Amino acid sequence: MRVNGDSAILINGLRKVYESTENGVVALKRADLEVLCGEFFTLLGPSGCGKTTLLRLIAGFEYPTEGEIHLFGKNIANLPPFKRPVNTVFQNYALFPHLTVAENVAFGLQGLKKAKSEVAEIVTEMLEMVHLGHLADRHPDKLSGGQRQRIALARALAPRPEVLLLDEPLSALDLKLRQAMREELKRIQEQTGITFIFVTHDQEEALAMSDRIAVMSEGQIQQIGTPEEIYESPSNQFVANFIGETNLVNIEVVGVNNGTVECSVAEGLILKCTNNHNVVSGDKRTLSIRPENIRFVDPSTSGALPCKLIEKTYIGTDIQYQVALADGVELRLREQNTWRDGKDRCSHALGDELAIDVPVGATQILAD
Amino acid sequence: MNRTMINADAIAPGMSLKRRQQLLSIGYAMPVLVTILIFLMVPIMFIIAFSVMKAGVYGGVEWEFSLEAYIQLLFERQLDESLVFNDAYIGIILRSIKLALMTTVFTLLFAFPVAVWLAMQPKKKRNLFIFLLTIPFWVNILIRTFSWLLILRDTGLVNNVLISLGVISEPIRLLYNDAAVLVGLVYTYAPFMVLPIYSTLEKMDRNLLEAAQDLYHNKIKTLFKVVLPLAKPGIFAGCILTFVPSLGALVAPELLGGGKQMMLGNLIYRQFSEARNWPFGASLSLVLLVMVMLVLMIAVMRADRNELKGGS
Ligand SMILES: Nc1ncnc2c1ncn2[C@@H]1O[C@H](COP(=O)(O)OP(=O)(O)OP(=O)(O)O)[C@@H](O)[C@H]1O
Ligand SMILES: [Mg+2]
Repeated sequence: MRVNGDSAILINGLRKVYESTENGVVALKRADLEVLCGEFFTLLGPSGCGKTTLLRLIAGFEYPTEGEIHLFGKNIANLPPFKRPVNTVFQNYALFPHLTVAENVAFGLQGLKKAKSEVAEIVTEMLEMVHLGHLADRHPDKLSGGQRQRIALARALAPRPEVLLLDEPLSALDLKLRQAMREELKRIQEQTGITFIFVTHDQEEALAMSDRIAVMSEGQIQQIGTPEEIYESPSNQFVANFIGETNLVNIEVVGVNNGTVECSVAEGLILKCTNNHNVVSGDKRTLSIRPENIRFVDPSTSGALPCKLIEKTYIGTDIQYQVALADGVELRLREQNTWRDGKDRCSHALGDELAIDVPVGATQILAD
Repeated sequence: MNRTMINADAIAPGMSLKRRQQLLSIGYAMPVLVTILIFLMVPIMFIIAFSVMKAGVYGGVEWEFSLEAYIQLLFERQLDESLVFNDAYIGIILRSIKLALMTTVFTLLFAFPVAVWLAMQPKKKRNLFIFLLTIPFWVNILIRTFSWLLILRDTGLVNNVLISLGVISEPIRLLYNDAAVLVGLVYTYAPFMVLPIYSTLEKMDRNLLEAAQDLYHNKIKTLFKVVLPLAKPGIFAGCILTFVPSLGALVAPELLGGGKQMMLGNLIYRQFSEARNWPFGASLSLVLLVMVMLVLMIAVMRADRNELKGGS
């Protein structure tokens, strides 16, 4: 019996070079990764960063150049896909056009040589789970995109895999459907208790659905953590920039006193922040400040930084401002566009001399 | 569509729109209809006409109505004009059907793996292989079939190799039997089977193969449960393209069957040459034509049914 929290997938020093081209393409430089049993784990990264490659290595459609993939302690890196208790939901669904919906869902169970009665039972159960029992006898080409997606999910879940792999399963759906399917996927994952490894390049999707996220770029894993960790404490510039919006500011550490550091941004412009990377005086680092953490304050407040408003963008839920501080340093900040008792929401005008506050906890020193 | 309606209006102002459009579409189809009429219907009319005339003594026909050519299919006229049942020609027709069916089956067995293999090749290489597949067509079929004569005869390649390897001591008779004809026919029509199967497989989504393997089907099971069903339309087209011409084949049975193992094609050919019995040749041609039409009708019906079902 698998226990939640066991290591479901353990990947050590995994490397993949595609040899098809002349010099070979290094799709995965080196991946080390642990996915826990029962987890909703997401691989997030920009196009071409190697997400699909990593997923295909786990599924068995590609074999690694180097490294190991353990599934509950057993190295599966060199097993063919039909011997791995792992199933895939393909991006284009890859439903068999010559089979009905029910036959598609039964396909994996037949591959496992399950008894007919058991197959029929599971197929019914799976189709009910995705609310498509009434379409059992249709052919896939007579289904809508969202229905195909659900059938692909039901087909991959029917053999009860140890791990389910999903390669951008929602990317072909329109926005509304995508949001509905997010909740559906999450519900099914919790209901079945199966470990999900989910690939996406949509950060909002990743943050909303995942237990943990691995952020990838250029064939490498940049950071692994919960959505909060990834967003609140990005470990490097790439992660800070890729997840949400941020201000990246180059600083020099000028003072360290128990826990907080003083960072010099420019002549006469000092920001304070928590010392989460054990920096010492004289270190040159980059600071990440999320726009929503900066706020306008009364210029007379202590610690307020004087600035000038140079740009204002109305984006519906928020209003986004660009301000210039001393020495040409610019920061972006956001204010929620809420109704404040009849007060004009956009009271600040371009060119206004204002002041902002950057709270100590709102800034992050990034690793090199 | 819009333009069609404007034209239709100009042509016959009094008629209903639907009728005018019907007329117009017939008008557009006119060149095709005329071509079909001249090149297809007229020769067939001639054949039909010839088949109900009397044979000329030196070939050709005499313009006189006679059903002799059809009677001859089943009966032999004795010297005293009485008719005796004769199954020789029926035998040849049945033999032709049997050989054509066998050709189709063997060609399929050979061509399917080739087509699958072709479709699995990298895109760049595929075109080269397709090109190689068409090379035999550069050489006249007579010469290609003749080369099989050189390979299969008593002092030919196969016998020489087998003797020099010590497998046999005497040459074995490989020519002038059904097997030799079959080899020739399979060889001739193999590309007609490979190409349609290849073209359906080429369009197949490669992810389906991965999906099948992901769902615990090994390569062999994937072949039978995914590739084969998806290749069906190509297999069907290939079978028709092989069966129909091998039914009327002339060259392979003539050269490799030695003229003794006759097929319908040889029989017809003989009526227009040595036997100088044009009406009989014409009636045999019509028998062949009817058989081919039956096969094609089955094909069309099948296609319709598939359309209704919504399958590909
Ligand atoms: N079969 C292949 N042969 C050669 N190179 C490949 C192959 N598949 C992928 N690559 C290369 O490997 C790199 C990683 O590709 P991969 O498909 O894993 O990216 P991805 O993160 O899934 O991107 P996307 O979000 O666009 O799907 C890319 O540079 C790609 O060009
Ligand atoms: Mg991808």
